[in-house]
Amino acid sequence: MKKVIAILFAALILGTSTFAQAKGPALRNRDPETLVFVLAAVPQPLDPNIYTTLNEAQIMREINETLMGMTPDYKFYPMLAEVVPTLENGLVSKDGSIYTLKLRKGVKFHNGNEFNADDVVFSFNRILHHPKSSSKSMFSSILSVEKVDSHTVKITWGRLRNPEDATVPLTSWADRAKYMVASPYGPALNILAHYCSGIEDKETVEAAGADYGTKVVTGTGPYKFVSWPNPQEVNVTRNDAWWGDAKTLAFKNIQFRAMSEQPQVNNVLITGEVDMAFNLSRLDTKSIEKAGINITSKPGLTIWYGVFNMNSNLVGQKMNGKLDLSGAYTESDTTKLRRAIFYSINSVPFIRQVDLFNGHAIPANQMMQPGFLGHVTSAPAGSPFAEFNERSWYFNRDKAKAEFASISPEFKAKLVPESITLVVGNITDRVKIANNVKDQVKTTLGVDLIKVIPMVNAQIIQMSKTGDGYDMVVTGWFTPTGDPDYTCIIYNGDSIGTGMNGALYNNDIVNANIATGRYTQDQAARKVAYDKVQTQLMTDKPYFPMVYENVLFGTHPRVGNIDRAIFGTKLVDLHLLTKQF
Amino acid sequence: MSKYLLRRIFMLVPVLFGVTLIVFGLLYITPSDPAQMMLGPNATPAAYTQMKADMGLDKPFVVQYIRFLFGYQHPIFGYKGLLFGDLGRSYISNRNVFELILSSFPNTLILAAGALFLALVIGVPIGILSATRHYSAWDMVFTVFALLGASMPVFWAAMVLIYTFANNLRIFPAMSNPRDFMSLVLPIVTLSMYSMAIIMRMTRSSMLDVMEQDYIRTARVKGMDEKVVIFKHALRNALIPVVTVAGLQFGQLLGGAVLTEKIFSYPGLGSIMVDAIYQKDTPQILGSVCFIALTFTIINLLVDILYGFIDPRIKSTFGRKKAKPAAARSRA
Repeated sequence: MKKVIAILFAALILGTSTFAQAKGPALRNRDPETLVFVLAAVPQPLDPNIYTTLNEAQIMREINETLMGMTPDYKFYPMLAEVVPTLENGLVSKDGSIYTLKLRKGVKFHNGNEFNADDVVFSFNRILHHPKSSSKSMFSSILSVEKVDSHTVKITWGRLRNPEDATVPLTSWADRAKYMVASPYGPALNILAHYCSGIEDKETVEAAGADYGTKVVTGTGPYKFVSWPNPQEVNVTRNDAWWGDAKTLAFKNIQFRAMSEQPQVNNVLITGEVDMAFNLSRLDTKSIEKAGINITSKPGLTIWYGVFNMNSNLVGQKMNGKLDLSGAYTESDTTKLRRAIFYSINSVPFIRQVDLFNGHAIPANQMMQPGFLGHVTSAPAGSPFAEFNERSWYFNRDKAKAEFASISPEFKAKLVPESITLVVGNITDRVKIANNVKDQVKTTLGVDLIKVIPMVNAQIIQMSKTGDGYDMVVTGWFTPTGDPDYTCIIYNGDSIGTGMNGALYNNDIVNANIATGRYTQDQAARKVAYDKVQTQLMTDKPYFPMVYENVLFGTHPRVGNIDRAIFGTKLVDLHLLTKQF
Repeated sequence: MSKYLLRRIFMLVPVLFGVTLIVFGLLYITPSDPAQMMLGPNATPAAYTQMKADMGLDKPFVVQYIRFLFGYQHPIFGYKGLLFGDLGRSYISNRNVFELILSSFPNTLILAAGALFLALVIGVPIGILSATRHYSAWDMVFTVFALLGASMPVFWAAMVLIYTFANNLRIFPAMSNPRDFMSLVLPIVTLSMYSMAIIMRMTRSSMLDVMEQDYIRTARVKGMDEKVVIFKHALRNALIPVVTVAGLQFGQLLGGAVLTEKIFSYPGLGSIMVDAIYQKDTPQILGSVCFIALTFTIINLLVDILYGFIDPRIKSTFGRKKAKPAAARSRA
């Protein structure tokens, strides 16, 4: 009898763990009026003017509203402003440097305070001049924000009077007036729609002091802050007095739960404990779908790419020991080796790799995300883009071998195994991509040239300031503004020394066109300028763009209107979601 | 007794000082950059330099360490120092470091206490059973389970439990929080496995040792009931090493709940510490590690005191002066 019981018990355990079928994602032990959204990490304080990571941005998006709104396909609409300022409606000055914003009347903060121009001036002052603000650089083209009347503000855009003053910290409006001159600014509306420019209540922020963002939070948005009982959980509830009509909100409450372990995210989606998450384990998306969870995969704003250090003695571009990149440079052995490596790489296998992108990405043909103004869509014969195809990227074994063969014997003697140092952030996916690059170069050129060194990302940024200690980097870039100007930071000569331009790439043609794109309002002219930037980049090849990563969401079937609510930034307009059942 | 206690408490000082020095030193040499992290990747050089100076990171190691102990004056980044119980605010959450630790520590305490309770309630009886029936089939089975419990990685055990009892059977939730008893079951079971195995093995070996003693044989020869022999005479003595181990296990459970808390998304001190490490939140890491070190040391002290109460022989040595060597006594 004992034996029988023991066998039955063992069979029960084995059977339940191996063959049991999921029952579907019934809501487990929770209020159906509450939407549970998973954040990838613990959020920073809910203070949009100061903190910028996506985790708190997702929460603040529902609490604090911006002057402009932007749809997932990069179209602008008025949010706390009454209309979108344009040249046509006279709210943009003729030279494009001054925007007059008429503010929406009758809007109230969650605590009942009225929203007005003072709050706008206060919020932008904090973004630009608060010691802790992490978005100063993104908003650095603002020269002044002035109150015209209680519901009108005037924003003047500008640029540094003298580019050498880039090292001077501008800590007040007076400093900005001293060091800047008025100038049109191409991405102005993107900046006004960026989540960091969420408008805060002057009175509340000043009264709360250091507790603002953790214990006290207020905004004008569709949801209001309720509690933050522990670092991993934030609760908000519907703002019944929302100017945008609270009746349109499908969920009464939203609970945000921070969860960094991807397998656990999959588990809680399957068990129905949460409604929505983006940091899924891509390896298991099939099993999540099988359990009845909807998977949404759409183009994102992250580009994964490789960097060739132009200061490197192996893959750089130097002449007589100095950087040689002013548009027409001399071909050298290092140029040929760079191209040999470039043509040895094929990003398509990374995309298919189940434990990497598992199909949720597309091959990148340039250093600009698709859908952006600066993305080159044509590939005329003779242009560098003509060498690209969706099936095998720029990979060309014959070209790679020919470039490698043309290297002088003296230089080739230096190319011993693992002589090229490739540094990469010590994050699993990045290291996998770097190892793929290493293997592909080895297979194509027949020499194991690359040594992959994983290290802390902060260290890579430090090294990238001077270009010392590495020949190549594999990294990623995310453009939260949705405008090409922000992507251009990576290859703008002005970024050398900041750690962003790890290639130390400094090309006059590229720099001039980035400046044109930045300081003009004419979208057609911006398009032409940014196209020239991409063409020059893909000719010089200081970078090898690899993949554009998709945003991936797992959603409970009761949640609807996902396509309209999800952004390439991985942010979701939760107030646009609908409840299916 | 009081002298012994004072001596032990006094010994805490160098231990904690050593811990702070090591942890601070390790964080100092770690290639992370809080100023860059605060400003984000696209910070201008001017803003970066300013932030580094504001945070006091431009000063040498000794200055930074002294500030960490005795305080740093700055309108935004200032704090009173570890010795005054203030490490300022977390770089990430902007909350007071010790306030955050004190609010999350009870959650960890619930997990650790639950795990230790389960480990004792199951481990001790099984240990006794194994010892009284040593080398029987039951003993073999329990030994195998103990080996499994001691050697199974926590993350793997947790995933198996979640897969079985949350994903498939839907008995317990996969996500845990201290307000929901059902959600505590899986993390407590996961956390208790290792301790249960250790306690069970310790009870078994200790019981076997005691059962070989002459006084047990005498009790049996006198015709005493076997239950009385085991529970009254053997168990009390056998429990002394078990209590020591259980105390140490409790300390380890408090510090070692990190993985379990992360896997079950449980809001305890371990989760806070891991998040702080991921995000290079130096004040939070320092605060959490120092707090765990202090807790561990205090628990060790309490175990030593408890040890004396269980074994009167040890208690009697607390107040006794150091005995002179036998040879010296005889000469006197």
